[in-house]
Amino acid sequence: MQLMKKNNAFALAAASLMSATNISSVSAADWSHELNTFIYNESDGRVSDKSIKYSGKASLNDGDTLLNLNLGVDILTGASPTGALPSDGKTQIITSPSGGTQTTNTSSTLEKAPFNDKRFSFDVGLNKAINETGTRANIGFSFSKENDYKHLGLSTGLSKEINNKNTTLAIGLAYSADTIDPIGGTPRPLSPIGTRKTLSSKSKKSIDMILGVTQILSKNTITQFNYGYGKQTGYLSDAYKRISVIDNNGNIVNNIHEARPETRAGHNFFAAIKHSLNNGNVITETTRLHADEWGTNSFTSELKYRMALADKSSIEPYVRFYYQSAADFYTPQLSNEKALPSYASSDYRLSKFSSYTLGATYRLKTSSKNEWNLTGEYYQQVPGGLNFGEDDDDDNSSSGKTVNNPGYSAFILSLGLKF
Amino acid sequence: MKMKLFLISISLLLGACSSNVKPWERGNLARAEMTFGAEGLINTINDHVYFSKEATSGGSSFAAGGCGCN
Amino acid sequence: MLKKPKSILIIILFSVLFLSPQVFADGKKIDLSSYKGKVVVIDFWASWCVPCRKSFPWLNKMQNNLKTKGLIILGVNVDENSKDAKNFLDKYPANFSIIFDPQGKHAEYYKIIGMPSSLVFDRQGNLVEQHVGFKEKYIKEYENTINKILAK
Repeated sequence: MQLMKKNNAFALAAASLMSATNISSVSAADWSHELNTFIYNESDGRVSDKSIKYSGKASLNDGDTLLNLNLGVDILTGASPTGALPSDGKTQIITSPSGGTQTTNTSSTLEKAPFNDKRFSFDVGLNKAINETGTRANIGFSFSKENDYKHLGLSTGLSKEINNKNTTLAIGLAYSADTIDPIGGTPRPLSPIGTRKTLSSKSKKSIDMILGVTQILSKNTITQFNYGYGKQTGYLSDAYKRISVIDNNGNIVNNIHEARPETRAGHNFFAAIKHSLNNGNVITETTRLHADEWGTNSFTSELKYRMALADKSSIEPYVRFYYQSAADFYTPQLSNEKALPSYASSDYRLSKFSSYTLGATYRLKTSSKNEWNLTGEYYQQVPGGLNFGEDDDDDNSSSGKTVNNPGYSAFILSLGLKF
Repeated sequence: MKMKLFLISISLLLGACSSNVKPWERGNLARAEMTFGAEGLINTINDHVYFSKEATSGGSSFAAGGCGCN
Repeated sequence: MLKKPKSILIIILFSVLFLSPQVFADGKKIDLSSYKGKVVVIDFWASWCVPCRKSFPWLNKMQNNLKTKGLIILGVNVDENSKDAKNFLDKYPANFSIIFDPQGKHAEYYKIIGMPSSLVFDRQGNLVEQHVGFKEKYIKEYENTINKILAK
């Protein structure tokens, strides 16, 4: 199941852009490493992920050449809601905004697909100065594999410092070719559960482009603005997700497989600012706007405040707010009175919701080269989120909690060491 | 009046842009906490979580900033 | 129409206010009169500058080996808080003279364009060579330059 995939193609290019002088440990060896283990746990027996990650960076030729290597192993267990309505007698009647809704009790009645998956990921990047005036080029390769999903990616980019190194311009390009082999085969779009599946692999390709400007505003303030465009084509559906087709009385007539479009193009606008106060503490704020042709538009805002504690430690509390609108083809269920649409999905991840994260990272330097970090975060997803008025479709109550999208929370705990 | 305000804003903006941090004044910016991309694996982890649980992803920061040495 | 000259005046005023740090600051020259007859290398460094730290062993070596030939190295520190520089020197000692320039007045005077910066003055006190950055691949070049000026 494509639960955790190497997402940000530019994590690679981005890491590569780090110059030698940014390596936090001033040490004789020009390698710096980070090892991190983390646990992600959702409420209601949903997804659980245990992971170990390694990140290594090397600086050669006084920073003219930078290498970076990332490795990761994830063990994913638990069960994820399929999107179908509960099949027991107490079926909720979900009607259009003109009708009423009844919510049933717990999501333990939710139909879930269990899994036990191991994911391995690897990426490597090279970043080189190509002249003496601050121009650098980078290339990267990424790979990941889990039971039913394989990813291969290439990235490249350029960056240039201008304006007495107060401004950095950057451009990046990434290409991914993924192969999907759903367990049990790939269902036909909107076909009933139990009908024949194709056993051949499916493919998904994506291209991403990013333009960025980093601007120093003062001795204590630095900002960054990025624009990104991405387009995915191929098999974009989730083979394990289902939609319930109900009759007028709310009884399930049928459960069918979902179907998503074969292309998805979107834009990202990102802005970030870091500002250091007189006492040395640092405020970081980031904002991102996303719009795409599926209708899943989003707004994200994060705020972090890093406070120095004693001489060698710090704590950085962090809040994040996220809101997304539902995909055009998202629906909590379908009616057997109407013709099937071309595309439909009940995947909670495509619904309208807000999410809130509250967390903090504690860091402790135990030597000139070693720094421990401990992070705890609480994440909550609230379907419906903000209601800006009459944006509901007629027979698609994409706003508000439903019995098959009740929301959930998750806890993250991470322990790492930079050395 | 509108034209006056507009011209004043432009000159203020230009003034702000011309604030140029000198190479020897970058001590604060050289700190890892003031550098984009120096946060470490916790950022990667968060990005993965949000990618998996939300419909939109990408558009995060590039590594940049720092001391500007060499 | 009457308002136009007033607007222009305001724009000029603002521009002057913002540009003034660059235009009107001159910085402070380092007095090299006591080094007449010597070749002086002024090296601008800071505790937060990684290539600077890497240049120290080489600067120490040059000062040791070429002192008798008349080489004087002056390390000008630009840390805004000189305490950071002193902590750095405890870990990475220098056997050349250190001048503290926390407000960057010397850096301003010599119009330093990058960190670290090295300025080489001949025996008559004239600035003859300058380079930005410190890279191992250029060490031979740096040494040749200094030896050439010492030979004059």
